[in-house]
Amino acid sequence: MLDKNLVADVLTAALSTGASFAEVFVENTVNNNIVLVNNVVEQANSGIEHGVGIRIFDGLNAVYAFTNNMSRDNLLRVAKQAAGAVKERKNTKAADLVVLNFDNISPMKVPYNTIPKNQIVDMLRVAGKASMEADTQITGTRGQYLDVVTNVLVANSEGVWGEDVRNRTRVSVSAVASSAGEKQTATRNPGAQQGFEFYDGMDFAGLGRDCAKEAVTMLHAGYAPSGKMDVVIGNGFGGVIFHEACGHSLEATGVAKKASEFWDKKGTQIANPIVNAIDDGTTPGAWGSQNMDDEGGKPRRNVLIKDGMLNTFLIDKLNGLRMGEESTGSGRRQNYRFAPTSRMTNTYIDSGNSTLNEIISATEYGIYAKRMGGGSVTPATGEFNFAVLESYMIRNGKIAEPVRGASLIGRGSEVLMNIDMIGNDMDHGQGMCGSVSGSIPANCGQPSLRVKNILVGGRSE
Amino acid sequence: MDLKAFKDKLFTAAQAAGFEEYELYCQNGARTTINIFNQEVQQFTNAASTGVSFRGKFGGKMGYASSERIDDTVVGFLIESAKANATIIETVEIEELHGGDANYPAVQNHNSDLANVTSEDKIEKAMKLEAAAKAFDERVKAVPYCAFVNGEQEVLIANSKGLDVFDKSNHMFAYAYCQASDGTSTKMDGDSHVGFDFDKFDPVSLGENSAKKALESLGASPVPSGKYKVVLENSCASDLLGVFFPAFSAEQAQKGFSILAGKLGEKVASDAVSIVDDPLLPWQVGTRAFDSEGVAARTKTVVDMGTFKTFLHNTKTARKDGVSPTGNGLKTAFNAPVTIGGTNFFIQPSGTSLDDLLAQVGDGLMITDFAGLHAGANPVSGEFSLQAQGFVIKNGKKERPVELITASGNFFQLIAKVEAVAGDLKFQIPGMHGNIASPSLLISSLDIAGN
Repeated sequence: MLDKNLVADVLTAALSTGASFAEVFVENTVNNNIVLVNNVVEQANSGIEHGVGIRIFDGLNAVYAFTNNMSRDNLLRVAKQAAGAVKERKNTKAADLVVLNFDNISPMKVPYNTIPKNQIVDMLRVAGKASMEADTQITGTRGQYLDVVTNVLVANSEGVWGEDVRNRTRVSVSAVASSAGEKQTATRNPGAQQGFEFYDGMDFAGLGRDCAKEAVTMLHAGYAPSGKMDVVIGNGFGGVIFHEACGHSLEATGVAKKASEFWDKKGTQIANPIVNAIDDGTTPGAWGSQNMDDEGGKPRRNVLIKDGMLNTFLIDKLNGLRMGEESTGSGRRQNYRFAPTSRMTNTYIDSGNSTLNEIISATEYGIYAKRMGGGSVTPATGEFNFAVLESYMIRNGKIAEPVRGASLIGRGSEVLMNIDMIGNDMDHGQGMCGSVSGSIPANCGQPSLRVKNILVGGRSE
Repeated sequence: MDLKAFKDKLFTAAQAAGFEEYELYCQNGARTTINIFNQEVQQFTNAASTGVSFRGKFGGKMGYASSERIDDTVVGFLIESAKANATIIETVEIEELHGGDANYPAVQNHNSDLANVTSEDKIEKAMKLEAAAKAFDERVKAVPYCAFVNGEQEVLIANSKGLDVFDKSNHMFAYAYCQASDGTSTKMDGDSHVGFDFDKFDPVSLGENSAKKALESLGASPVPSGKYKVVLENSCASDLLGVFFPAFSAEQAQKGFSILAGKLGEKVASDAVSIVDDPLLPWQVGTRAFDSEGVAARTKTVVDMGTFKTFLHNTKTARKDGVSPTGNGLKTAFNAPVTIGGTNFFIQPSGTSLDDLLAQVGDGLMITDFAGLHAGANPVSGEFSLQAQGFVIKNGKKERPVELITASGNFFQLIAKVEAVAGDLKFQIPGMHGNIASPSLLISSLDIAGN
């Protein structure tokens, strides 16, 4: 992507004022995007993202610069200018660059650019048609396709030279149900780091029908009740509860600043002993996986919580220096515009022993939050929230009428202790996770599970 | 590569490829970000970025492509991709390029003094900001998020129908979010400043305000569930208006995704609510002479004392509705398609103070912050259920801090329940739909879930 000698010169220029570490991140991304509204192709866009990020450590601080202009003169100028802000006087020399070898765990078998755009449109149209035909109350549909191929190079003054190709694709189909003045939407959005073969055998009509069914169900649902109650959270993307309530607070980004409620809790019990939580960037083809992280590090399967005990944080290189710990292969960024920091990959609560039936039967009164939306957290206080998209009342151990408008809020440290039943129906869902180093693909996963006594925000109208 | 030479090459290629009309949108940006932690520059970021977006009409349909690489090798990619993309477009709505307007307003959105501030001066003020927040009270344990940001942007749009416009703007913002703890309770809160005048930016008062906000909420606890008379403080009323902004977009309405569709001329809010989109306000981040299609900017009253007057339009939606474009054809990024956004989009303030609003409430709640807006609010249905914090209002005064409650309702029912509007309009750091703001609002009833 960039000549090795040029990169070596840029690293030398970046170290010229005495810094201890310098890094170059080069990116070239090609993406394609198609949008259908009411089954008519409304938008089609293609783009190239292209740039270089230069990072220099200044003791435990950093200088970061990025540019789209890849000329030798400009890169050396940007590197020297960034070096000018460095105060450290370590006078490190850049090591010889040695190529990193690693396996491609997420290969693209069928390249996206071999697929005619019409074929993609037809595929999305199957879902839209199925939604419209599923129910007369469906008044609109939306379909979207995305593919992204990113070539990256990470090189640093420790001699790392890592080149990788990352490919991911995702579709999003939704249906809008309407009745007098009210509208409800439902969406399905599977994605993976695979080639176009990801869509082989995918049931688009089924996705469309699922959206229609959920939107119509929620259109006629009453409002969820308010107050503290037991909540059974559905499998798959339901794992967003762990992602928000705990995952972000285990990232070194907050921990290194002591701005996380868990910063001093390593080795202590933070969750019910039945809880095991894992962040695994090594799952082949999964939405949040990486062959190498964005600092040239090796992704790992990090066990965050073992039998309720806090086992490890997610750590990037710079925060690792601040904390006196090794990187856990968790340095990630949206693109060259962001300095990397510690982030999640594919994060999940591990399987338990109960069936969903057993969990529901054991719940006298509460809510079954079948499908979750997104949420957010303030790691310093642990206060989190997330939205429930499809939910049902549980009465006398049985799933009862649908309810809408529920959100769940609480503190991470409390909710982890209150997870008291975990199912055996493990699944993962795909999300885009936002934080200081931008928006990145991340999987949230879990089996169905129950949280005792969590605050449900509903409405009393 | 020189932009002018690139444009000439691209346009020649576009014509040869059979495009009926074509346009180049170019954005040049520079930004400095200074993050402070424990009186050190934790990260200093210098950013320079250029991007071009090409759109062209081929066979009557508009195709788009963009690139951050600007050289000869990219011309072919832009032309071929835009053509392939145009070929699959099916929408019957006609998208036409805008040939330009006779007159463009003069606006105040670039301060050359700000462009000349040195890095040393920026760092000094950013350091003072953190120091002031920390020094304010020993219960302020840290300022985990403290930054000064200064950005400058150039936009150039030129097309085959004669449009050739250029704009240069800049702005600065700073924020501090404090972690306060009294041993039993830990809270995070803070404040921000957006502006164009470096000398007027007072880091000490911003730091102290940020600290006050975090300290005020220490010891917070929930309130019982129920219906409350509520004051939404300006910043969280702004957040809410921002989330439901798409309802005012003609594009969303035409596609059936706006609850306001078919309600032009009808009463959609209480008499107290007037909403304006004003791109001509001096020294605001949304201030501009033209939109992303080159349409001259102008001021519109969107809601007039509760009555819905107009949707916001780009050229495509205006043509479909048979009205004039409103100058709201905006892009969220250089490489995004033209959609619809707000410029300076705000609820008109009144002459009432926030204290008067609290006095009018008597007993109720004041909400100062919503969390999880991207997830807990549905822009299509208007429904929201959001984590909130704030204060109990007793006898017209703030009594004690409140946390871990949710506020739920429907935005379009909420704006019909606005009893009074305060005079404290404050623009925050702009969000994805534009520079959107609101003064504090008094709502007659809102559902709260607590203990």
